[in-house]
Amino acid sequence: MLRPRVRRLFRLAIRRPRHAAAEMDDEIRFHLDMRIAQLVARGWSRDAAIAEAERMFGPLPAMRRSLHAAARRREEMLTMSDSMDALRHDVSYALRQIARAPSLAAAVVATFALGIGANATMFGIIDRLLLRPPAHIRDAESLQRLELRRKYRDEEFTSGGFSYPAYLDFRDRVPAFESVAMHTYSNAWSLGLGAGARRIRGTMVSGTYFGTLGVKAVAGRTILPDDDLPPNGSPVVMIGYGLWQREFGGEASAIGKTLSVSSRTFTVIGVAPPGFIGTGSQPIDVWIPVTAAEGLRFAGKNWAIDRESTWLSVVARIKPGVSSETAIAQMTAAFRAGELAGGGRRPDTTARAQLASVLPARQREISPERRVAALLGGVSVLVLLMACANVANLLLARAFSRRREIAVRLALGISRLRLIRQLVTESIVLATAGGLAALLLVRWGSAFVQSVLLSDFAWPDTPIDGRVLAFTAAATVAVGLITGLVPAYQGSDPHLSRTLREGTRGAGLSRSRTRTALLLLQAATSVVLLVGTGLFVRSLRNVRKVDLGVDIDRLLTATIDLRSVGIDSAAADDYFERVRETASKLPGVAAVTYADAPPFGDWSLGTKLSVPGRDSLPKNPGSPSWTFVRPNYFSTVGTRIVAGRSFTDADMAAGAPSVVIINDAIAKWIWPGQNAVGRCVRVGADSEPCSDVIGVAATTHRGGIVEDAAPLQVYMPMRLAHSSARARLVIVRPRGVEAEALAGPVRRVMQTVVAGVPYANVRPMHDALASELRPWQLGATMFAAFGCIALMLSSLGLYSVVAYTVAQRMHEMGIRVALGAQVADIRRLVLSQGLRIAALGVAGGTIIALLSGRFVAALLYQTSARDPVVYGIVIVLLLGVAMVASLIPALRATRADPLAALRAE
Amino acid sequence: MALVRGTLDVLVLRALNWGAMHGFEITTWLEDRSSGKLGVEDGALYHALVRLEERGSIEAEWGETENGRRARYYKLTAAGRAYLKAETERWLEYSSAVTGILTSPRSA
Repeated sequence: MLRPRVRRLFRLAIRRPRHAAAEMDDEIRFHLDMRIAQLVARGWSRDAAIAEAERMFGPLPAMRRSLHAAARRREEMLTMSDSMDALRHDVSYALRQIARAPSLAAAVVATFALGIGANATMFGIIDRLLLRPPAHIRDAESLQRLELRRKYRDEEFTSGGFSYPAYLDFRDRVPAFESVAMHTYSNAWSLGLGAGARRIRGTMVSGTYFGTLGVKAVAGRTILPDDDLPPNGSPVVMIGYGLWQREFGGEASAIGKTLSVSSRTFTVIGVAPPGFIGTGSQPIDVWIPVTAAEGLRFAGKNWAIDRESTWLSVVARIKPGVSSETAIAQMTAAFRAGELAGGGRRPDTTARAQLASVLPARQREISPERRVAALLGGVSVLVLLMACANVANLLLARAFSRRREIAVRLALGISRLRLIRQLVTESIVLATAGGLAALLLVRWGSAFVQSVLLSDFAWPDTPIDGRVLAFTAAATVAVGLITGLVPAYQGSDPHLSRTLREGTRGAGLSRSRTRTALLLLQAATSVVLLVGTGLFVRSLRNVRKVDLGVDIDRLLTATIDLRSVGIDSAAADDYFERVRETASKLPGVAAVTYADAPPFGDWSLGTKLSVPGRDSLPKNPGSPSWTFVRPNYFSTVGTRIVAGRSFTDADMAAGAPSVVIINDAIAKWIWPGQNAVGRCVRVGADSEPCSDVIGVAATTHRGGIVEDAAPLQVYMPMRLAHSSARARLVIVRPRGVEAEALAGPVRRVMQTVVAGVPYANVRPMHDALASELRPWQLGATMFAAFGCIALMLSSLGLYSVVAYTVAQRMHEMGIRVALGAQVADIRRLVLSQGLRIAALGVAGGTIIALLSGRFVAALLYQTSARDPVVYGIVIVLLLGVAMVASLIPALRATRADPLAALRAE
Repeated sequence: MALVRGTLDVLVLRALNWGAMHGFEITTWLEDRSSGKLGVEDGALYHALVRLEERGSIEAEWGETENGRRARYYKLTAAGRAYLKAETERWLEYSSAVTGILTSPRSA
């Protein structure tokens, strides 16, 4: 029966899943009471009525339980569908609002895309360089690298290299280790011979290597301990995934085929997983058991028992349950015992073992590139904050221009929370669009950084992986929330109804304070970023300008491992002469020479110098190094002879008097202020003849761009008859072309002038520099990119705020003009407002930059972190940009029509 | 008589066709209309109400009865009304088809 005139509560039943059961009980109770009353009214006794009511309802305890469950589920389902409805409504409302202001939306999406894209790119790079453990290694956290702490002449230093016998000691005499393995540093080897030889990188490992690291082959099998049995092991090779694809097309038939590595034959037994490169950072193509790597090993014939040559790295896993202190104690004991038993000349019995992590972020010394990358990560966060500030400003302005609509909705009863949620949804939708566009930016940006700026690392094929995507998504949501909340909160102020009465003039003081604060933040950040750019660019220029004494940028160098194909000294002389003759005739070649050490790069061994007649020489900062050169050496590499002459063919003849050329640093050291030419110096042991100094060459850098002291260099004529067995370096001086252009032709000459030679490693000399330059290049390029973004964002931000304020104050401008203000006055008014904010922000940013200069000082080169020129340029640039950004709205303000402004509302 | 499966839902919607009712009102309305012939376990009715609310055919509010007691009132939504109309037509077609066959002479 219907009951008219039922009073109801106004609001719909609020969804409360927790209370669903209790409310269902209320309903059931109510029903039973009504039924009981009905039955009693029909004449039933109370007790009978109760029993009958319960019977009619159904078996009560079971029915109650099932109804509780049903009610709870109902509440949960309806809550979810309510939320989905609300979300759908919010999103469609947001899209409609965005469509009403398309240029604003475009600006916001572009800003977001830049900020999020920059961050995601840096995250991808930092993730690979620092955060991720080495690929495919099982439980990389617990894999330990073994190190030794030794004393050498009162100085303690840590060394990570061990001899093979030491590795055996660790393997066999440290019960605390569950597994131990060794590997060498990666080497450049030749794959194939003759004209088709190509260069690969490989490393020698113990049979336990893959087992210790926990790596499984993706085809075939890994190297096992049985492949590494002394004395000669098994001639097997494990190839990398990239090599498998390149050389064998990824076919399973590759297993069992043979490869010629540096002219030795190995059988392919397996393929490593894609991206596996051990614990290093460079790509690796092949792994060979160390016992089978005859001729490729660094140590000599007695490599298996020689404790002096430390050419291996050792990694190990500790048994579970054993403490690292126990392991270290056992390691130390085993090492010292081995030293004593080894019978070497100077057994090191004071060495202490220690363990280090293989994770990149936990290395003792983080390489400069990694530090710069981390710095840039922080910088990109700054840029993102700037982007957020910009967008927040834009959204604030937009919320203000919608204040009427919002005030009406508030008056109609929408709750503030709901309104804020709607406004935040708008910014999240915009952020999502920006995040999608950011992914495009990440693809290009990552590709650029990986192939141009950091090309020496092993990067994966796709720059966008799961982690980068997750980061982008998280950044998008965070950014959308942050930029949306402040404008939403302010825009939904319930006291907005006041603005309806005040008309266009009400401009909330608090709102403009927030906008100004955001602008100040942006200006300050721009200063910091642009100063960073300037400092790095200067460092890079200083680095490039260092006079190395050698024409590094022009020269081409080539090395070739003739020993591996059995070509000994005499035949080698012949080979190099042929190469020199043939290559000199190539078009574009000015000169070709060869030496037994490069002019740049620290290959040389030290020697001793003495002058007959002088008891001792003043203390020298380093030991002199020596190199054998041909007569045209100095003219080819571009080192000046500052006194005397260069070698001639006469000096090269067998039996010619012993002559030598010293560099300027030695001349100043031994004969300061005097002419060294004509004097004589003894190079090496006292039994050597005293050599005449026939010339003094300019000092060249030896180890790198950044050097502590001038290196001492002695040059001697390379007499073919008595040339040493050291490897020779071919140097080519181009004429009129780039060094790279000659690489192919020179390589062809070297690989074909005599039959059956391995791969010739030809590369421009400045490649040796490249790894040193990399940190500064990375810093300069990325800072410049971020600095430009920051500048764009700041100027856009300043422009939009000033333009907006002008639009707001048109009414006031109109009055001023009506009262007699001149055009110039109006312009000055607007300009001064913009410049005031900019000046304040620039001042704050300058202070912050000065204070934080400390953090980047270590990464710069010959540039002070407080370089006044850089600061000066940045300040002038920013103020200039601020002036332009304020000028445009200022001009618009001067065209304010007083009548129109006064009439408008 | 026991209800044919699935018809309870459409009967509840019909009960609510003219206005909001609480659970007991719906029960007595159905009992009156069917002259007591259709027996519905009260608990089954409440299960039907939960089902219908979950499906969105009805929506619920807590309200006060004439006597000041707190009761949960149900009313039809627009979707519920459409569902009721469609199901009613289907039922009438179905039942007339079945009735036609059951009451037809041996040959027709």
